[in-house]
Amino acid sequence: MNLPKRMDIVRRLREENKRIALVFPVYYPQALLRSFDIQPIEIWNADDVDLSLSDSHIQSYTCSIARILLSFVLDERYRDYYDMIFIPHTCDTFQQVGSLLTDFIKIGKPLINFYLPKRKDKISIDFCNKELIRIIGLLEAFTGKKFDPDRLKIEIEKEMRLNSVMLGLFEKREYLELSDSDFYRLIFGRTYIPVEEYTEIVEKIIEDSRLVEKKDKKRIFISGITPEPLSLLDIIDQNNACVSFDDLAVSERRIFEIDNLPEDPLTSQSLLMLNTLPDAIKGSPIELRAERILKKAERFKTRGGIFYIMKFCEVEYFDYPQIRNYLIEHGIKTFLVEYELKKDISRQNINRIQAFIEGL
Amino acid sequence: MLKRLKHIIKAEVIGRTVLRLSKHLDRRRLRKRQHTKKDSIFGPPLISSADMKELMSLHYLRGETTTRKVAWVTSGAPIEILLALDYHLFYPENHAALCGARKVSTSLIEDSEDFSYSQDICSYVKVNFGGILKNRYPVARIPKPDLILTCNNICQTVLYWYRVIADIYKIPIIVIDTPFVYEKVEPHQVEYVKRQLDESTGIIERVAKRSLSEKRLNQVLLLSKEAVSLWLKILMMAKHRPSPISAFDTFIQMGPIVDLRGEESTIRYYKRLLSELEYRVKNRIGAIRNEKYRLLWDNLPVWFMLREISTTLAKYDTSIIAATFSYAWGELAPLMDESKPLDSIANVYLQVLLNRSTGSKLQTMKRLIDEFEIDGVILHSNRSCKPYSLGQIDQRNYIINNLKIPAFLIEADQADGRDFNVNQARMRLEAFIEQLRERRCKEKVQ
Repeated sequence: MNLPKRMDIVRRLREENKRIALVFPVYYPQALLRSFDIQPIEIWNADDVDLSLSDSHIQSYTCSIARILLSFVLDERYRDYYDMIFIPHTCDTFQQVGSLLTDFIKIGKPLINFYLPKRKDKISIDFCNKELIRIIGLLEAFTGKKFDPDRLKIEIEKEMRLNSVMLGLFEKREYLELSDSDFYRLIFGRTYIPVEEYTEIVEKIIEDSRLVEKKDKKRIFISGITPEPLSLLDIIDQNNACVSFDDLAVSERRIFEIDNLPEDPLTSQSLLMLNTLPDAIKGSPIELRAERILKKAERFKTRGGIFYIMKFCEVEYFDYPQIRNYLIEHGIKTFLVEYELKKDISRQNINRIQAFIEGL
Repeated sequence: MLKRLKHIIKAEVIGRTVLRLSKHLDRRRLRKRQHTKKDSIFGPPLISSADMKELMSLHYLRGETTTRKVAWVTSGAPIEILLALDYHLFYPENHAALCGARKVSTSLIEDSEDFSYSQDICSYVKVNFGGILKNRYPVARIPKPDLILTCNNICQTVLYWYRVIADIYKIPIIVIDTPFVYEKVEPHQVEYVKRQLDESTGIIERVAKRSLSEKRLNQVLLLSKEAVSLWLKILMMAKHRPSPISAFDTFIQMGPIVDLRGEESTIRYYKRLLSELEYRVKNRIGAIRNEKYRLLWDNLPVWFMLREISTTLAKYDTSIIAATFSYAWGELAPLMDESKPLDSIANVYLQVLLNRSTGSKLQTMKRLIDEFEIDGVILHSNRSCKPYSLGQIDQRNYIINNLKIPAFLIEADQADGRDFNVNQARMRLEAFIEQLRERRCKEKVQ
């Protein structure tokens, strides 16, 4: 699989004089940013960062994503790679990091904090639209361009197309000629490759792939924020198992369910963020999330799943016991692994994962 | 009918009488202590505490047998609509704090960990889950909810927390989503909260099986405003030297403003407390005997260490006289406007301390440092509370470097004492006081 690397994309965009927004996970108005000719590059992890940079600002009982992201922003070596920072309100930690970067740590780049509503109804859509109008004002000032609703519609159409391509990818994943680690490399591509290009890559992979059913393998699902380090997937593979679906924030939870888009492009942009699959980040009821996992497990004949939870991530910790109970009642086994980015999976956890897969 | 009769006998007749008697005995005991123990490092105890004990105990006792609809609410939730519809309110956070102060929180925390709740989630949550899942309440029995209302103006944790409660009890949940105020409050944020309040009224009425009276809502809001204003006046008494009240006292005395604001009994109580504090000011009676250093506390208290910390400090003539935590309940009083109930509620609850930026919290601290003539700041880096704690490193650095005031960060937890090293904490506090002394000496020389 030939996937452009993040830095290649950044260099290319720089050569083309395109503006880049460094974006924190998870839900943000991608189409709106692109309608201002700003390419969002999401950052979920970074290889070469010095965590001691963030240690001077946030405590050690913070998740590794936040520590890595803040360190990346503080690292002067990367300042030329982006023009602005966009921080959606994902959790308490990102809220505080966004606030710190606004009030205390000035890095000399424009920063936009965006409040994502934690409800999903008419009231929150209206609020979200107004929040987008506020952001449009900031983007107009930053780029010197006027907001163009027609351009936003075009960008939203691209999102819709990608969404349906991704749905196809997730449907066929079991039969694709891709290892699980390659599959998630592809998923990570979405976080930085321009949408048109990425859509074409995914379509081509689906087209070119010889569909081979992985009959002999035990099927499991994974839930959490990201599947990193990707060696987790190698461990699963080495134990004759494969991932049949996921409940990951970086992956399937970003799929949105919208049949018909409204005429107003701002409302469409709001729906693209609010109508994604159930997620604790947006305050979705636990029951909905559990039901969705169960339905998928039944459909893909999956008998167990790994809850791969990042240490100190309260969002993920809370739902686990309830979802586990629900799934156990329906004959699905679950297993929790705690991890931190930039750290290898411990030998003890590898043994536990092996034992879990054997027990399925 | 039988349930109502049981409630009247148990809470209103027997309970009330016993609590009243107990209050009189407590008062007598506290009065005696006003004139004895001259060698004590602390000032005489507040006599009003006996009344507060009665007030809070009666609230919990009423909850045990209440026939009113019960709502569980977060501490920063807009409760005025619920009160106007005669709900009995229960605050899991307040209960968890109580368990922490009585040193019974650890076993409940461990109980919830047995159910796979992580060691790294908020300890208040785990105290609550421990009680629910094992049906064990070592401090007070808590009534089952008919409705829960969560407002994320204090943290996002309450959103995750209350979803679990709703899932366990299968009851309606109301989420009041309050956008974080990064810079200034925007009209669309107020509108958003206002519309949610408006919508929630329908659910609250449906569960209560009665309609909201606007007149009653205005009354409740007026009572809330008066209670909050009185609370602010009480906190302001600490500006006097010596301060008649310590922050540790305010942590305890804030029970009614959290649990019972909007009720007349709270106003009566705070009037009494205020008049006792005025008497103390007039007679130069301090919270500690010999007040030399005045400190500001940031974040929630370490409930299980209140006594130990206050004693260590008092030994060195040091008193924590102000706290951002207790101040958070009073500072918004001027924004309350009973003539525009929903606008006012939306505006006030959007702007609570924890829903404002790290820079705004620093401004509050600066104001308190200035107004209360603070010599040093202790910032409790609280593992359970990220919105309160993340930002403290820069806030501390600003206080030290720009305000030239000693400040230090102490890592602990609000209710989980398992990782807390008492001796180490004591040594750090002593070293900090040494710093205060040195600074005072230098000032004298200059």
